Amino acid sequence: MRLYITILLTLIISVSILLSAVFIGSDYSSLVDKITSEQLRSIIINVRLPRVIASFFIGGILALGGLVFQSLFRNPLATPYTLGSASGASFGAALYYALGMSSIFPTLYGAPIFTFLGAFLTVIVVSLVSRASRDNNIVLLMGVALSFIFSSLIMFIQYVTDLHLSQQLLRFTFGAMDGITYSHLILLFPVCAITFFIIVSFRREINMISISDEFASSRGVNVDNIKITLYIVVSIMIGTVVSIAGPIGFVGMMIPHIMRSFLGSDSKYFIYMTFIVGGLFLTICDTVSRIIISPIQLPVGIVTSMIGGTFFIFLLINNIRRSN
Amino acid sequence: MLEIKNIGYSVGEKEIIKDISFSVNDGDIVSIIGANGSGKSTLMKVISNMIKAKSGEVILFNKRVIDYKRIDIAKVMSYLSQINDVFINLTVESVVLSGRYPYFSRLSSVKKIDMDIVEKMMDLTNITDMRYRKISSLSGGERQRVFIASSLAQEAKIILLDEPTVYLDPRSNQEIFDLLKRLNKDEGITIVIVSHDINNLLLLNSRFIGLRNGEILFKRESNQITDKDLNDLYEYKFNYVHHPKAINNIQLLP
Repeated sequence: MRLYITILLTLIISVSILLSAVFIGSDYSSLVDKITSEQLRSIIINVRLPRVIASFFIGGILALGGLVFQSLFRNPLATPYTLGSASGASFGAALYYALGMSSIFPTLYGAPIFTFLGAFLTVIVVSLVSRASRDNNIVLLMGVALSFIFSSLIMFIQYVTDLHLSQQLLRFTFGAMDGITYSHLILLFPVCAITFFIIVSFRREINMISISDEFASSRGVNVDNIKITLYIVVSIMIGTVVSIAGPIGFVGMMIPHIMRSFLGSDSKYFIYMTFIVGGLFLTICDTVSRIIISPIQLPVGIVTSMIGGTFFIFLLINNIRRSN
Repeated sequence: MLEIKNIGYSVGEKEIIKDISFSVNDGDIVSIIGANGSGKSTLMKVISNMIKAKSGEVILFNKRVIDYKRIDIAKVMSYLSQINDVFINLTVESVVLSGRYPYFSRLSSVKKIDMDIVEKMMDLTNITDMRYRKISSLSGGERQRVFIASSLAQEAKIILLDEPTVYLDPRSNQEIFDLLKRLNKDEGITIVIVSHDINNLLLLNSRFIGLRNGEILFKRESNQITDKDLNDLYEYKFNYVHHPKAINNIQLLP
């Protein structure tokens, strides 16, 4: 009963946060001019509404991606962000712009292909490492090393290209939600729906693999197939998100970890609630980032990393305590 | 029901096991013993089709194990490897229920028969009281019983156990062996077990396969095994005393 009340409350809170987030923000279009109510209406409908909706879905996707990776790699620190997948996707995006692909493929659909490939290739490298070594730390370190390499490559591209492109690439060094339009939502919705459905239908396998590969295998799970499918699914998720908003860190680590300790990973509601709470978290962070030094908008990645980094340290200390 | 024919496995140039043959009949308990690194775990992985043999074949119910679908193996044979660290926060009940996986279809919900079997197996392994507890909060012995219950829920005729009592205290160790004895006697489950607990294996009246450097050194019934066999197997001279309950009066002492 308490669980149902909690879930109901969460849903009510989420709807109210989503609704109010749209109306929160600066009433000034620039430092000097107070905007008219007509302009404000247009801002709310054309700028804030798609942005709030997108931030909810992006947050949900990031949290789900984290949930899957934490389970497959059996480590709360393992997420698409920490394992370098998000940086791989960013690098894909940087290549897409640097190679002038935007004149060949339209950005909305071209960039996600490059970010997907970046994310997927990184996952494959990391998963090969995890297959060769049972040591979780090595897998994480590999992810960190790949992240550094991709970041430096992005910075290299930024440094050698023109100012305009360099500005464009800035988004791919930290996540930001500005400039999101309804056309982004058209990409985001189906990706979200399909990947969500696949992950829900694989929930049993995900839980079994989180015990051990052999445990799952012995119960009839085709572990290799499931893993590769989920790597592709998560890469599509991360690729899509990065192409829209850049790499947003730590949502994928914190939210599933917190929900797992609240609900337990075998709860029916675990996947749904992780998605919803992830979405809410990012929406709140984005709203904060819009208003905290208004009228200047802070990239949301700075806010999530600030909160998430602190949480990361908390997790590490907890891990150390547990192993002692 | 299970035949191991001339199995060999190697990693690069190094042969881990070579030319292993033995058969397991319905209702048997077969103990695989040997020093660390003698190839016991590798052998278990080959039998359970976790890894493919480089030579030879494993025949399970008149069909090569490599020709089975994973899910069909799971219905007749369960393999329990050593699980040391559990990161997940699953409940006891859901871990046991995962043994029913081979009988689920992808989107279906759990049926009553699945829950009945889960109840029965939790009862058999004496874990019903802790069904809603998280796996991470259990002691090593309790956790091992949960994993065994999960294997049982597969309704497999054969269970392969790789060191099920490693890291357990003497009482938990004994509880696992008592459980195995009961499962074999009352439920007719065929057991293939890797363990270093020679005394308990002897008390199970099992058949012994002694592995040394990847090769079979001896095959013995419980009552045939001699001091010399064990001394040769571990390349160490142990002392032996009578055990009041064992048929062949062996109790290993350092």
